[in-house]
Order: sequence, then structure tokens, then C-alpha cells
Amino acid sequence: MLKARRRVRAAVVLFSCVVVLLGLGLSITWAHRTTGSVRLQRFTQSLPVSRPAASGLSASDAMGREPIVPLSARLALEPSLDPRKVALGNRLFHETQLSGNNQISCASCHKQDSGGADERPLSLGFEGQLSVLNAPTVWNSSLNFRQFWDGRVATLEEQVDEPILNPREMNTSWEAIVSELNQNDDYVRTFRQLYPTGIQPASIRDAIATYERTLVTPNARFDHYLRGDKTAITDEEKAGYQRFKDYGCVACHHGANVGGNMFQRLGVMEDFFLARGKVQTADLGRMNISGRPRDRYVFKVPSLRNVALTAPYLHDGSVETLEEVISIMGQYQLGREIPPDDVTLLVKFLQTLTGELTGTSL
Amino acid sequence: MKFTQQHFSRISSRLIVIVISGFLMLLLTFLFGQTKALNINQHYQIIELFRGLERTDLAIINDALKTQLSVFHNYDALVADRLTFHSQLIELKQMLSPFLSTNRLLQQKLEALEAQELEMNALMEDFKSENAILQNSINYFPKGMEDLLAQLSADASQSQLEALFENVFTEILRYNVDNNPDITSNIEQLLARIQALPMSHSDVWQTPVDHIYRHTETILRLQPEVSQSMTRLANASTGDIIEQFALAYEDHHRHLTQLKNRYRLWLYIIAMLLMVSSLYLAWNYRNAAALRKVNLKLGRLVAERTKELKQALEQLKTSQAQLIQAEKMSALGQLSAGMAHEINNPINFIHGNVQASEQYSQDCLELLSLYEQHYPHPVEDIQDFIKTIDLDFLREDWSKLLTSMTKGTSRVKQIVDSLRNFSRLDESEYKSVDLNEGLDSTLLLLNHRLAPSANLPSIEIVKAYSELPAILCNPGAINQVFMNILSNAIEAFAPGHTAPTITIATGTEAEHVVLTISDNGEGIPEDIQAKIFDPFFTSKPVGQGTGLGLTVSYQTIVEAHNGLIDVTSAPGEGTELRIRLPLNRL
Repeated sequence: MLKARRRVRAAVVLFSCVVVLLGLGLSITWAHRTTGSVRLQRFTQSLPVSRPAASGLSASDAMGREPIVPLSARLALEPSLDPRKVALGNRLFHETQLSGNNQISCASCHKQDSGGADERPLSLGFEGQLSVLNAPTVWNSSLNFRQFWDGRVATLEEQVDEPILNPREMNTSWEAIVSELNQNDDYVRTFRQLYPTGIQPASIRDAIATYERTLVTPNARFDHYLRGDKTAITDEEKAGYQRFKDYGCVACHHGANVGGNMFQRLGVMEDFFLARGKVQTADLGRMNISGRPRDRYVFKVPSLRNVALTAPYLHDGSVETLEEVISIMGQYQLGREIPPDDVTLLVKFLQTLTGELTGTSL
Repeated sequence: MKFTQQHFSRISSRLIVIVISGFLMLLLTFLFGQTKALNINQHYQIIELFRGLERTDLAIINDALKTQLSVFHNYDALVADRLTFHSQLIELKQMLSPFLSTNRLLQQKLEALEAQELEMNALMEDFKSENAILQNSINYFPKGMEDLLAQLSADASQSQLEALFENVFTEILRYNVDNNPDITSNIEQLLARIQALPMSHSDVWQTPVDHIYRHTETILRLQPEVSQSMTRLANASTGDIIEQFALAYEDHHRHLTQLKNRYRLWLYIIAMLLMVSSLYLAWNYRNAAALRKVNLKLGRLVAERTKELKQALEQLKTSQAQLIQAEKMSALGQLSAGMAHEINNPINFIHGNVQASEQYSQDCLELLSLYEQHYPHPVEDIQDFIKTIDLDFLREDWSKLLTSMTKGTSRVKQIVDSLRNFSRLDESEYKSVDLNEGLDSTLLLLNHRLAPSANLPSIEIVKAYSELPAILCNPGAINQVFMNILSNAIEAFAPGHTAPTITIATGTEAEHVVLTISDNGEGIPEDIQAKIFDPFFTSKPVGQGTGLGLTVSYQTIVEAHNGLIDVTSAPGEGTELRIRLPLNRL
């Protein structure tokens, strides 16, 4: 009887503990709901903020006296690039299995001996089909603000999909590529070492883009000149540079990549396409992407680095020589007539923009 | 009843506490999972990213202004800003990805920011393109105009054109400093007047005039456009959206923090409850364990006591029975001893007197013969009396009678001796005796039971005695054993047995005297062979046997005399009992 009473008392104590603690919890929960904490806000507002640099380009370069910025070896040898991934990307860049008929690789149209581009006005793609635009150089493409003539993608990784999946160009699918590469033990092993996911579209894109980031051509003679070596270029070439600035070429071709950092309409002062005729869809340029009428005939301003090696010129590859393209630029873009002497000087200047690829002069 | 109720209530209350504890533990695990996820470093990183985006947004406008004002000579800074902004946004998106699926507001703000980024990118590209052209025209315009004016001034016929262009020059320079719409209309009027001039000038003028004309137009067209682009760019600043986004995130984070604080409180409460319940359980368990221990000990004690009591009771019963038996035997002994003593004296003088009477009768009869010899013809009275008493028969029968009486008294004497021998009350407890004698005495006492009955012929006793050394023993007790065993043997014969025989053999074997009493009776069933020495075990009908005969025998032989007793029996063939007593008891 006594024991039973004690047990009842213990149960009552236990129950009241539960009630008190639950009540405490509920009341504090309620109190928290009505009052907010402002301390955190104050704290977060006092946090210092850094401004990270996202590319090799920087504002200090833009403030220099000269509109063109020298390209140093520092950019070419980004320490963050894994040499094994670079090697894999190099191999994939030359891999014809990335095309539908196993005959075309990236290097088919971005040739080492043609300035990282194609000597043809339009490239030969899948089963001899012609591309719609002239192949731009792969060299220094990592310095471009966007990729392709119409700037349709922002990164080198995104760029990889376009030619591979384009039925006129390499005409294949990721499924086919992944399955073909998986049949090669060497690829399987290498990918597994470098990427946790193994052979996947994302890892292929990354390897190729990583390789392309090494295709930077620093240490052109003009770079040496800009860095203070006044004898690096001849007086004629210096005069050519002066013309380059005077005629206003530099309005669009400036910065570290001597271009490649903005869009511009082809035919600012005069209608280029009226003169050329036969306007194709591809000639509409950026308008094909944005749909805005004001973007008609607007293209990415191409880089002029190694321009002496990347003939033919313009988006349609319609111009074969530098002299011609300089005249066209003068007429349609600058509203100026450039005399032949000046054209010669400008050509001489442009030739000083040919740099080194992986330490070798081009 | 009361016990089971209490027991049940204790078990059920403990069960309830265990169930509650299990539930609390589950709750605890859930709350633990809910309170650990918040990463304060990640939160600061996100806040920093917001601040970074705001800074980059400001830098974009700032750098665009610097570009417009020709502080910057290229667009690399603008490109770098956009890239920075984009990568910061991507990073922010990745860091916020765990919250985006649950927080609709954050998702909306992110989408708005991404849309604004695209909008701003487009505006920026427009600005860059337009600004490049405008800057080019502005840069070219003074030199081109000076060249043209110099050429025009050399030609007097073009003075009107020269004057107009000089005005345009001035107005444009003014316009570049101050984008006043009045100046625009002035310039437009001037240009219209130039157009209206008759093109009398030669083709030599055509190209430079056209160039200047087009660049002037470009400046007029692009100057306001670039300004507008700049304004739109500034208006399209993502700053407000970023701020709202950051506020939404901070609200979200504050909410999360509060939630987690609440969860933490609950965690504490649940932990406390668990502690209380475990304390209760521990307290309860300790009591129960102690109780169980005591119960166990008590149970063991009770069992022990019960066993002891049972043994004691059995012993008591046995000893009581033995006491009764002993009393009985002692009474019997005393009776027989008394009887023997009382009978002994009379029978002695009867026996002695009978012998004397026999002598006397012989003497009398010889006297009578002498009388007949000497007086052949007695008186008639005597002859009649002789005839009446049939003297010849008397003479013959008298001696026979006396002989018979002698025999009878001898037998009585023998019985009395046996009685005395059996009871031995007149002798000290331990005594050296001849066991053959004891056997004979016992047999004599049992003599009447060997006689034939209705169902059984007389029982033959075969004695195979060897000469035995006298051994020290309690003869009364030993004789009692013989009595028990022989009685059992006599009772072992089933009715209708044709040749009942009891064989008694005695002998010595090493240090023992061996007595074997065997019968050819029914034998002992195997299942009870092991029990025959147990107290109160009897195969006889109730009331006929005490069940103590063999028990007492066993105690006498084994316990009192350090001997051995064993039984071999084959059912249907007979039973043999072997008793061994040590030759030297001590």
C-alpha cells in the first residue's frame, strides 16, 4: 500500500516536470516568434568586402596610357591549370572521334599552322559541308569576353558543345562521344584519374577548355615595346601604331587582346552589306541571338593578335589580305579613306602583334 | 490477488516510461539533425558575396563612367567587371542552392537578379559599341575639321562653306562639353544649310566634306544616345535588386536561426525529460532489483527450511516408529523374560519332581509285584479293586505317563531357555555369542508358523551351519533381526506352494561371519527391491505390516554393528538375504 502510494507520488512528480518543461519551451518559442534579432544585421553590415578579380584582365590595365595592354607570360602560364588536364584536352582537341564520321577534330579547323584558325574562308565540316562563318582563331580565345562571332556563349566550356553538335560541323552527340571514348582504355583510365565522374560531357568540356586556356600568345614584339623596350619595333611599325590610333582602329581594337572585348556593327559609317550583297542569316550577327533589330550586322570585335597569320578576314572570310581588310575597316567602320602608305604602315604594325605560343615564336 | 495487481501496475508504469523515453529519443534525434546544419562561415560567405555583388555593381557603373570620360582607354576593365559579377552571382547561386527550393522569395529575387544581369549586359554592350564610335568621331573630328578648314580657306570660292563649317566646328566643340538640345538644333540647321548649298565645289571637296559631315552626324546622333545608354545603365543597376535579395536572404537566415534556436530549446527540454525518465527508471529498477534479490534469498531460505523440516519430520516419524517398535520389542522381551523367569522355577521343580515321581512309581510298582509274588491270592476286595482299576493297564500306562511328563517339562524348559536366550534381558548389551544358537532360538519361537496349513504343506528348514566363532554383538537386537528376516521368509510363500523350503547357512568369510537365509518363495518384484529397507515401506495389506522390520534390521546390522546386509531376489524363484557381521566388531 505504502509502495503504491510512493509510485503514485513519483508519477505525479514526473508528470509535473514534463508539464513545466513543455510550458517553458512553448513560452520561449512564442517569445522568439515576436522579437527579431537585429544584432546579426548590424554585424553583417560591418563586414569588409573584397573585390575578387575574375579574369586576367584588370582595371589597372585599362587606366594605362596606351589603349593596348601587353600580354605577359603570366597569363599563358596560369598555375591553376592542371598539366594532366591540359594534356588530355590537347589529345581531345585532336580527337576525330568527337565528330560523327570520325574524320574531323577541333584541330581540323583550328590549325596550328594557320594561326589557330582555318586558311579557308569557310571551313569544311561534316561530309564536306561548309560552315556559315569563318573559323575564328582558338588562340587567345580565353581572353575574349564572349565566344563566336555573334558572342552566343560566354565561356570556352559552353563553346565546346556548339561545333560538336552542329550538323554542318562535327555532327555528333554526347552519347556517341562518351560511348566511343569509353571503348578506349587509355581515355577511361586518364579520365578516371582526373575526374571523379569519369568520361562525361562536363569532364570533356573541362579538359578541352583547360587546354584552350593555354593557347595564349604573349611576348609579341609589340608587347615588349609596350613594356618599355623601345627598340622592339621599328620606326615604321611605331608609325603604324600611331596610324592605328589616329584612324580610330583603337576605338574597338584595344585592351590586352587588341579586340575581343565588345560588339560592334559591321558598317558603322556606311552599309557594308549593301556593298557586298547577298545577305545571309549568318550575316545578321548578334541579332540572331538577341532578336533586337539594333543588333543586326553586329559582331564581336575580333582580336588582332596574330592577325597576320589568320587570313582570310571578316566573319565571312571574304577578305584575303590585311591591306584589303584595313581599307574596308577605314571605309565602313571609321568613315575614313586610308591612303596606301598608311595601310602599309598599319600592316607592319599588325605584324608586330604576332606572339609566342608555349614559348615558341610564331 | 493484491500482489498480482501491484506487480501489474509496476510493470505497466515502467512500460509507459520506457515507451515515452523511446519517443523522446526519436524526437531528440530529429532535433539534433535539425540543429546542427547551420554553418555560420557559409552564412558570412553568402553575406560577403552579396556585398561583393553590390560593390561590383557600383564598379560597373563607375568604370562605365570612366570609360565614357576617356579615363579608361580600353574596355578590359568593363569585361573584367562583368566577369567578376557573373562569377560572384554563380558562386552565390551555388551557396544558396540548399535554400532556393524551400524559399520562394529567394528564388524570385535570384531570378530577378539574373534577368537584370542579362538586361544590364545588353545595355553595357550597347553602351560599349556606341561609345566606341562616338569616341572615335570625337577624336577624329577636330583634326579632320582643321584639315578641311585649312583646305577650304585656300579656296576663296568656298568661303561660305568654310564659314558654315567653322560654325559647325564651334558648335560641336560646345556640344561635346554641354549636351544642350539648342545646340543640336543649331548644328542641324547649319548642316541643312551646308546640304542646301549648290554643289558647285569640285569632287576634290566631296570626300573630306562627306567625312566631316558623317562624323558630325555621328556625334550628334550618338552623343545623346551614349548619354541615354549611360543613364539606362545607371538605372538598370542591380544594386536595388541585390539589396532586396540580401534582405530576403537575411530574413531567411534569421528565420532559420530562430527556428534552430527553438529546436535547440526543445532539444534541451527533451534531454531534460529523458534524464528525468531515466532517473525514474533507474530508481525504479534499483528498488525492483533489491526486492528481487531479497525475494530470491527468502525463497532459497524457505526451500532450505522446508527441506530441513521435511527431513526432521521424517526422522521424527522414523524414530517415533522405531521407538514404538523398540518399546514393543522391549515389552515383548520383558514379557518373555518375565514369563521365562516365572515359568522357569515352577517348571524346574515340576521337572525335578516328575523325575522323582517316576522313581517313586517304579518303586511302588516293584513293591506291588513283590506283593503279588508272595501273596498270589489276595482278598476278594483287593481282587475286585484290581479289576476295577485295571491294574495291568495302570502299571503299563503310568510309566508311559511319567515319561511323557518328563518330555513335556523338558520341552517347556527348552522354550523358557529360548525365551531367555531371545530376549537376553538378563545379559549385558554386548556379549560374545554363537549366532547359530540365536538362529536356533528364533526358529524355535517360530516353530508354530512352520506347521502345515490349509494351503501350504509344512515348511522345511534346511540348516547348513558351520562352526562359528563367538562374536561380540547385541544378541537381543541380532535375534530380532533373525526374527524379522525369518518371518518375511515364512510369509514369502504363496498359497499352494508344493515344497516350501528355507535354507539357513552360516559360515565365515575373511573378517566376517556370513549368514545366508534364502527361501524359494515368490521373490521381490524388481521395482520395489530398492525400497525394501525404506521406513514404512511394506508390501503387506494395510494394518498387517509395520514397514519397519527390514528398516530396523538394516539399522541394527549396518549402523549398530558395522555390518552389511544385501538382498538378491529373482521374482518367482526366491529371495536370498546375506548378512555379514565383522568378526571383530571393534
